[in-house]
Amino acid sequence: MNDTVFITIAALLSTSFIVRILPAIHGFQLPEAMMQWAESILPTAVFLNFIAYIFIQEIKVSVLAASVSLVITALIAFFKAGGLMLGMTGGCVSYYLIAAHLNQITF
Amino acid sequence: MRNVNSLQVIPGVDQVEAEKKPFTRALPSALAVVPVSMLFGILAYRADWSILEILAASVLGFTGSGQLALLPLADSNTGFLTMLLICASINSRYIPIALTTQHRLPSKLLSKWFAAHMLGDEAYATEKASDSTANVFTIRFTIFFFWVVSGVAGGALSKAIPDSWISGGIHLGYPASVVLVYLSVTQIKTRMHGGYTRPALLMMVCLALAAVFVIFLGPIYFWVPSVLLTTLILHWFRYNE
Repeated sequence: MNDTVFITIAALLSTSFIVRILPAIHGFQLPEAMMQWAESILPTAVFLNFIAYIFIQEIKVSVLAASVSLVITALIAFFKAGGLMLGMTGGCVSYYLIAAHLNQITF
Repeated sequence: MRNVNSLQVIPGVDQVEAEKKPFTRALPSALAVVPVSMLFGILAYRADWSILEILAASVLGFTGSGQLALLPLADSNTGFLTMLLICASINSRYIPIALTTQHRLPSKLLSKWFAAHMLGDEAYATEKASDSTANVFTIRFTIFFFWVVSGVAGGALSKAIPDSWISGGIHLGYPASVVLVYLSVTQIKTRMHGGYTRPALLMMVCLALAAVFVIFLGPIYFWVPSVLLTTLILHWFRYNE
């Protein structure tokens, strides 16, 4: 293993330790009222930010394909019109079809 | 006791989904990360990483976007601290997630460390507050396992994959984005149910604000301020409407 790869893996492992392992093992317990808040409101905020982040990142690649397919995925999820597999298929198929139609994919 | 309380906080949990075996629940997410991880393996192999190094990076450095972000930095001999700062910034969102899911982890130290290390966006979005420790471990391990195997497979198949697939415009990471949007919508719907009088409007406002943060602060540094502001807005409207 060369030095650069070793340093890269060490940085990745250290990151995991700082952002995931350390907060999970330090044993800090939130008060019960705070815990309920942290288990319902905070995750909602995280998931809303996931969506905004993904949308902004994906429209940089293809505005139309990403907008249409992410709306389709969100609607399938919201109305529970099938499971995750159907949501993923609907989103991906619509994205790749529109991107191919717009000649944004070259085979 | 906490799980019972959590169920009271989150009404309307989809019982059918919750009763599925954890492996079955995690499988779609695990399949969705395959192309992304394969892409990491392909790019790493083309940057002269060995299969063993790709395996080590996938197992020890399981960070998804962090792995892909560090590849070009490794290529330009960037130092450890710079890499750590960038990678930790990209993944800073895991700190509140890890804090609020710590009670779902096994009690034995090594298992706890391993389960915490395997925390990912897709696993977090798949898990439910009512899941047992075993279920949480299975969900995280399933996605982790698919990630590691796909990364190694990507490296092994690197020579067989046409250059046009990598550089010709096929967006291999898109399925992972779709899965995360799907899971996020279902989680938001479950958590916002009954807590707000105008949830759709509030959601749109929060999404618009988060988008503004992404645009102006960039995809790395927006997480902490944006999540904090969104949390405050959701908190304020939950208790004041």
